Amino acid sequence: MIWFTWRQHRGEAVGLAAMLAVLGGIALISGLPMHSAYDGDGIAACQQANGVTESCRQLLDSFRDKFAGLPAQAAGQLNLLPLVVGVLVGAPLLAREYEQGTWQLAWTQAVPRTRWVVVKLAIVLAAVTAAAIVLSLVLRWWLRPLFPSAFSVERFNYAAPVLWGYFVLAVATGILAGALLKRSLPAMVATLAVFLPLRLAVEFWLRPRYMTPVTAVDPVPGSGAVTQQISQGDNWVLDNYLVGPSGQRLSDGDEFQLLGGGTVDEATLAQHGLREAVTYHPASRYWDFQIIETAIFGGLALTFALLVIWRIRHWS
Amino acid sequence: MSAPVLETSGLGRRYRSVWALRDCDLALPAGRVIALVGPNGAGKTTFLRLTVGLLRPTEGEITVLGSPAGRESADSLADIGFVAQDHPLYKRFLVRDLLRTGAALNLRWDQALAENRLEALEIPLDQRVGTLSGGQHAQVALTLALAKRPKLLVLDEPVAGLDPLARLTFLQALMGAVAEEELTVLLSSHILPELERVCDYLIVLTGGRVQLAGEIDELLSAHRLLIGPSEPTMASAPGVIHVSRGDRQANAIVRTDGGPVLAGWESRPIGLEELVLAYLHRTPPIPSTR
Repeated sequence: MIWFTWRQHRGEAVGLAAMLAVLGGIALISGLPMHSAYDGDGIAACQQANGVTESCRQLLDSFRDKFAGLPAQAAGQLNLLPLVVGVLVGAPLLAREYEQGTWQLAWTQAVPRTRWVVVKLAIVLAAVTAAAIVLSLVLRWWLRPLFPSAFSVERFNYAAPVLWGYFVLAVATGILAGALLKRSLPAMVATLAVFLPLRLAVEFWLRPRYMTPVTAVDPVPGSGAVTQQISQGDNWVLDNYLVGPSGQRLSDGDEFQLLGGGTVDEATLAQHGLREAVTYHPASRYWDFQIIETAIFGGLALTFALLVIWRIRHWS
Repeated sequence: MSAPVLETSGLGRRYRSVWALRDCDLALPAGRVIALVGPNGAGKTTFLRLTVGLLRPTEGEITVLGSPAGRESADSLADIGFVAQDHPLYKRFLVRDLLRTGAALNLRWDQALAENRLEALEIPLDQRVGTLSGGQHAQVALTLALAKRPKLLVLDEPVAGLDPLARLTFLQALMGAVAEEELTVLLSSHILPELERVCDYLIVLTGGRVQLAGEIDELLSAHRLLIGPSEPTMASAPGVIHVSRGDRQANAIVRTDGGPVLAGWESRPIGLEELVLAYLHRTPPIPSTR
């Protein structure tokens, strides 16, 4: 059964491995000079004391200008990779058996079909897990110097737990769609239509709400000491705003009326009695967030996998 | 007499509101080559899929080789070889890969049998399945089913879509295999002439219902072709299956069960094709919705 599954899907496996190899090569070519600049120019020290001195700020800016382009773009676009794997590997997995009639061959061998589908799911999901881990390691090495905060979206989305969750859910969605629709193309479309909105909704709507955010306000008008430290640390900042003398949030309209557009210096803030405030998730919550998001995707993937098994068992 | 290889009682299968098969009561003897004959949409594929466990009955029971069909057990599955309609195979595999798959997924795999058969048919093991000719494709599918060493071999329209030569070779190969093994073969077809040579048991299925089932020899001796004057009352006489009228005379196919025939009628023995056609004519497909 293992050999059979490998023989049947080795094309997809080799394709995925080749893609990861190419990506690894690109990461290496782009990442090696970046890492040597990172170590040689003292970027790490600057990042820890973010923007304290003007020379540090310049150093960081030029480092980013020089190296950030490709990795940042990759970090954006590789978000689609789990979906692509779900559509190209997951959706046809069972749909093609129906389309080509080979389910009749497969399920009349002396392997009961429940075992057949369980083993198949296990092998495919294990392979996808391996791919997720490799991708996570490559991107961690590549993106870390540029995005020092693990809570940054570029780093968070490629941490091994959530990335695994995305991959297994995308593939499980594809397999389930194929089992239900029995045709590859509709199954591919369905995978896209289910996984993409889900993934986006979780990242942009649900993720900030996993826990109640913390709000901090500078104690003294015009002094951003507290909020700056929070914003520059590894915290996940959701919102920056100004608080008036009575402690209420300054609306955007009032802010514009009072201060006009553009940057505002601390003296102006002090003059109006305004204090800066920041709403954020502390860096210490990072693993809680990883675990919650992984549980959402992993749990759904497990549910979908069980539905696939149920569907195959009651296939008749 | 040995236990029936396949037994059904009240077997029925419905797809949504349409019955594909109903009230099917059969007991098929072991060691025969059984032909399942009927027009397209008669329920042949449904019956065969129920037999091999790919479908489960909506009602009634079906027992194959002593255990209920459709039970998920490796032992039951190992006893049945199945070649589905159009002989589906993994097209991207090499022939060799299919054999390895068969070996990996079965309990009694006979690799030597498979290799010898394919060698005799001059089908190279290193050829990609997708590039085989139709006849070779069918032969590979049959080889996979035979190398399982099944007790029951089920073939759904095995020769449909093959050219006459490939059809002949296929049936010869099948008969060769049957002669060597203790094997029961159940095959469906709507091509009649070939069946006469290879089959010894017949089931006629139309509109989802069994019209006729029995040993072909017995069925042939139980029916006569009567030729006589064209009388309108003829069709309602007992035992009459089908009447075709000419200008002056009528041909009637009658189930006499060896008894005497009507006086004044010429009585002739009947051929398999005439017999099957009579039963196919007799019963217009019943609207099977309910």
